[in-house]
Amino acid sequence: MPTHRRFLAVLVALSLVGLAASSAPAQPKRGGVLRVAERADPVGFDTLGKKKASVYTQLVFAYTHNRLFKYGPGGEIVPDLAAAHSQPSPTTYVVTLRKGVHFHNKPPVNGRELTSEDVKFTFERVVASPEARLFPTLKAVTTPDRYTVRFELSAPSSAFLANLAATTMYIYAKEAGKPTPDGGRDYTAVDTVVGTGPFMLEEYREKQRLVFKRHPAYFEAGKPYLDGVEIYLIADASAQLAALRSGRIDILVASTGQGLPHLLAPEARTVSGASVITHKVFQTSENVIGRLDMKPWSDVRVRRAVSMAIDRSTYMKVIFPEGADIISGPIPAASRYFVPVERLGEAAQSYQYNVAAAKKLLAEAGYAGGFKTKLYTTVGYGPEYVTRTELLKDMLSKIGIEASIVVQEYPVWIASTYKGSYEGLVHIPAWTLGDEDEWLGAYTPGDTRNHIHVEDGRLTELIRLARQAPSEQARAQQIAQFVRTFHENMYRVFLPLPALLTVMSNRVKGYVPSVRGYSYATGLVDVWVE
Amino acid sequence: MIPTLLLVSLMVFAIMRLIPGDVVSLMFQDLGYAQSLAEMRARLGLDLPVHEQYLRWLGGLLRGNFGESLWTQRTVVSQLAERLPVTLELTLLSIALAVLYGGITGIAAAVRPDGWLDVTLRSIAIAFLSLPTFWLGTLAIVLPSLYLGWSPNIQLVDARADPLGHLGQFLLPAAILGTHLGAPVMRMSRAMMLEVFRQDYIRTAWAKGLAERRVILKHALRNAVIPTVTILGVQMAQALGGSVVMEVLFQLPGMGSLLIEAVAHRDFPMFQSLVLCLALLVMAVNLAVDLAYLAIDPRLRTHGR
Repeated sequence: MPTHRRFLAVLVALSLVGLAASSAPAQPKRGGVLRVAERADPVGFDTLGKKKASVYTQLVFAYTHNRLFKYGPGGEIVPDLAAAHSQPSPTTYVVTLRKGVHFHNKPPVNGRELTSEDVKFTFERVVASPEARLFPTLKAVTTPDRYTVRFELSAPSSAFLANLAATTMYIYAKEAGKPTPDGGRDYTAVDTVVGTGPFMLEEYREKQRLVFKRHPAYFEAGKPYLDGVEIYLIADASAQLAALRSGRIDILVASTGQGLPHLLAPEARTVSGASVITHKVFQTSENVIGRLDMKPWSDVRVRRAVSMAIDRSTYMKVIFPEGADIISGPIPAASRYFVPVERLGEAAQSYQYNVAAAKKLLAEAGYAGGFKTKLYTTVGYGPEYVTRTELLKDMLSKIGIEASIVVQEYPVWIASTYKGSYEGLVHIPAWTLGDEDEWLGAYTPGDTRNHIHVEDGRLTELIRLARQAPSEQARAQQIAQFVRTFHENMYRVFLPLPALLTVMSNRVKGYVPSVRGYSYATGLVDVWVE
Repeated sequence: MIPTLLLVSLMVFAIMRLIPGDVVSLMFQDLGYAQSLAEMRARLGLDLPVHEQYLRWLGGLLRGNFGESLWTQRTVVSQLAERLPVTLELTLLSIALAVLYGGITGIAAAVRPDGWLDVTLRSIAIAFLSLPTFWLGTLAIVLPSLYLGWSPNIQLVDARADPLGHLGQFLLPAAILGTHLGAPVMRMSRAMMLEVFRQDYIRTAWAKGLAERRVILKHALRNAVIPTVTILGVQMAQALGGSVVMEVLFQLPGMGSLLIEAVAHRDFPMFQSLVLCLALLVMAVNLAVDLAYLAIDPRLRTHGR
């Protein structure tokens, strides 16, 4: 072979080797500390206390504790402490626990093994907590042996396993709690945070930071890769980004739905040595609503007209430059049951921007010249939320709806408008951390989240059928039917939902964002730093 | 001072009862502070007649019982013990910087009125007065991170472990607040110095051939400083308000962020006690200002005799 050909062959071979090496997935590395920014302190350290656990408390538990099941990055339910499960009858679930799962080696638990008694104890706390709402049909929890838990329900519940994965359903060690005079256990103090999770809480300084150290006896061999995680509590978004830029933190996770970093997107793109990941989240939806028991929202033509007055394409370009889904409900866009606009059939027409058709609909409803109304909003979701309300007001004015914006302080909003006590229109988010079942439940008469006062027997029946569906396929069918019925009646006017951003230093490897943002820390077990 | 304190306590007490929205329902249903509406009312002491509620609260305060946070279940006193030093440090440093900046530039501007230095210093003071501190604070965080790859520390540096680092952490927010507060001090100092410069005794001092430094610092300054000290009392209240923003921006765990949280969470025992504590602080500073008059102007000491 001539020399130049030999040289070429060697060059090609080297290039192929180089290419193979560069495309091979990077090998996880042990060691290093990940520094994360969060917005607020946990409020106590109990997800099953007498009051609803703050999302920041739930975040801490994602580091330190495990659930029987958890959500995978795509929202799928995967085993966590459960090794296996079966459903011998529609109302019985049997969960077999992993063996060799140890609590953190901290007094008084001292690293003992997790048993079914811990699960039973946890469920005794669940039924006495606000989280009992997730298990209305739970009748009994028994422990046939050290590693088996048996759940008996009074009626079938298709959301049962999903609710075991809720981000409040962490398994507690009884002795970690401080005994109370009524015979219970108190988990509000920081030294009661003793779980089986990948990280142990070492230090908590209010308004400052939380420090976690690696749990050396974690049940997944070799994991977590990190030696620890430090959470810095930084309330201001600009300060968070500056801290990332200057290398004081490694990652900003858009998990809260408030102060969405999408507004910082162009700025975030300029952080040198950082990557921006865009992803969907499960928990939120935004809408324009009115009361179905009051005029004018009681007329479906008005609701459709309002929807057709919203130029969603412009709304997305102006408000969500990083991208958005056109609609976000009644089941979240990240849900496996979500029905996109293009599959809505005739109902999809109401999501087309058409001022002429909207005016015609209003005229048919008896509002030829439009009408005057209030449009409620709140500063509680950040100033950008009110900006979105202002854009909506402009769009409504094109079809003659003269809306005067009422900006409410958050506590007033929660105590009145959010409870369904209002007259006129409301720009409102819908959110829950739970399963699709929780989303459907908001349209049940009497539910505190039924802001629109819907009382539709068909919807109520579909919710009941979905809850008691004997199979996943049957459940999917019932939910799909619910979604179609909902859109046909346009009970809420769904708005575009933004994609969220995770901004992280390039030294962070192996991070996969989760559609269940509040439990993102669960995924940090697979993360390492270069 | 005591009547003012009583008035403030009455106002704070009344605000809680006048605030819009069903607070009890909010706290019970959405914030989960209690198991029932009745328990919530009892915890807030709202099941008693209004006058009795007020007297009980006041009685608690007099015994040093400021109550307990509904949100964190920690006593207000323990939270104050942690947060008050941070706020005081920031506020006092801001005031000190305001006095330094405002005093020096005010005198310098008055020495050559309408000269280039006077015009420049006055323009800068107006700029500091006009620019909102939250905007300056944001710029002070964002710009160095953009161009120098530096940002302020994101956790409180322990003063015992690293005194210089600790002071350095407070310097930037205190400087921003101090220049804002110092601008009116500068304008007041300048105006008062000009006023004093027109007095006969200053003309006499010049005529005696005293050095400029001696005329300004010994004869003019002492007489010009009283109105400036007066506005410092008012500035203290502003500094406490401004520290709320600076504490949030610069990650300083002081009373400001505690107050914001107390309002946001409708944590009324905390909110009431914090406002009262702030009022007490402002009154203490004003008392100190009144006492400072006596030290500055000997005529006031003999006036009452």
